[in-house]
Amino acid sequence: MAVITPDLLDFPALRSAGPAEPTSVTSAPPGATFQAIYAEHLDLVWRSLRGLGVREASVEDAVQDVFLVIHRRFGSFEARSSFRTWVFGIVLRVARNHRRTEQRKGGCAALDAVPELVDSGPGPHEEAVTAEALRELALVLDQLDEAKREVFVLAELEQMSAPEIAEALGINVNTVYSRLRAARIAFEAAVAPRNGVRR
Amino acid sequence: MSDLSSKSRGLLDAARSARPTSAARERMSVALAARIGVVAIGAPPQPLPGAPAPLPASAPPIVAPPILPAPLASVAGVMSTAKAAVIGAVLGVAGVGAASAWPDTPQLPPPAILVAAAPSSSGARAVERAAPSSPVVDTASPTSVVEAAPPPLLEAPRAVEASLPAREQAPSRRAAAPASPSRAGETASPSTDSRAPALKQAPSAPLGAISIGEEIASLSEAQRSLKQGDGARAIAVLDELAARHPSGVLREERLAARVFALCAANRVEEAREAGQRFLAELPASVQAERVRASCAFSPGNPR
Repeated sequence: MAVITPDLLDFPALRSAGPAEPTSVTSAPPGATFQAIYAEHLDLVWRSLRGLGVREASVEDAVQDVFLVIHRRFGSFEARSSFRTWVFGIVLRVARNHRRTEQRKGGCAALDAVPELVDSGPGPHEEAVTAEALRELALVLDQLDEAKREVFVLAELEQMSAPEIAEALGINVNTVYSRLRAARIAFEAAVAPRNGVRR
Repeated sequence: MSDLSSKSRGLLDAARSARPTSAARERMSVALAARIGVVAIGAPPQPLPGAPAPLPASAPPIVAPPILPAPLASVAGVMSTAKAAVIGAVLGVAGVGAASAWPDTPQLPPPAILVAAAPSSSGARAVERAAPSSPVVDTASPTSVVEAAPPPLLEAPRAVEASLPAREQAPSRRAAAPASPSRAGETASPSTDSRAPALKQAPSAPLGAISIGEEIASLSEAQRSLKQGDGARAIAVLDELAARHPSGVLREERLAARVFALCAANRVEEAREAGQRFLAELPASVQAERVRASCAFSPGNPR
């Protein structure tokens, strides 16, 4: 009797992602290829991981971790949320994992300045400015607790709606609002000293 | 609406414009491709006109398909055809419409960036990660299985679907999950995670950092054993993997594989127990349908 040996790791058939989300919210239309998903979401995954506390030296690994999971889990995306919200759910968990690993290793934020080879693309100055801003932002956010940080990053950096944030975090919308209020207060308190004397 | 100061707004706006450099993009693309084990990914599996007809149920064991058509030989030259073929075969890169090169890597970095792991047995550490900031990526160890001539890339999934019971044949069914709210089934952690897509992740294990390469290597070893009909060996490999990475990234696949291995070893009662545990915990798994189709749920033992 022939033993049925399914390929254990093959990429499951993409299921229909349901009606496309309007305008700015990305969705995965039926037949979307992984590479299209990757191209479309790479920047926001990279940036949000940094915002969520993944160290510059680790973020490239973390980005791959996210897309590895997206690749594996795509067959279970059920279109109950937008695709982008689903992606952020994965981003959150990868970020948490990396943060905890960093904490165990006693990671130091001051070591974050990994020298990047100068990119010869257009607008090097602007690129340096935005890169520095992201570093600065991450340092400020390091001072927020995890719950506030996550809500803040999703709302203020990634500009997600409260219902989307609620979905991604698995909390209710009212909690999102109250936590965001507290997060903004904490953020302002943390950013104020930096606007003065640089540490 | 915002309570934030203009300076905070400015910082956020600037940070939001930050993007990875093109060098970083290239590193990530190449490294991700190596980890997933595919170089070319096209459209998802779909019935194509002229696709090979489904094989009869008594089809011989599925031949692992190589995944690198000739035009991508230059890419393969970086990663080594053998490794890519094995990894790709294991990961079933048979989903093709138009196979196309990874869009972000029209020019691959020189081979120095990819460090080939020395050939070793499957028990060896398959993927080592260098210092996190390093772009060096190790691909999984090559084995003695090197596929030379590429058969049609659709062959494997068609054959798989043909050999499953009739109810499994529609490709869309393969990803169909039970109607029950299955997100809860995707995670072993309690309800706070159930509303969001969850990762199977032990609290202490950094996701993917170390285990994924070994997990893939062990699962491919188990798969090879299964295809040779050696259920006992597959079980041994899987048990060893379970000991090393009980909460690995590919735990679902390992648990499903164990069901299949028990079936192959004709340990049907154990397969039934394992299958029921699997479906109780992971009803939404992409492996769920296959577990249901296995000996664990043969007629007379309905789920």
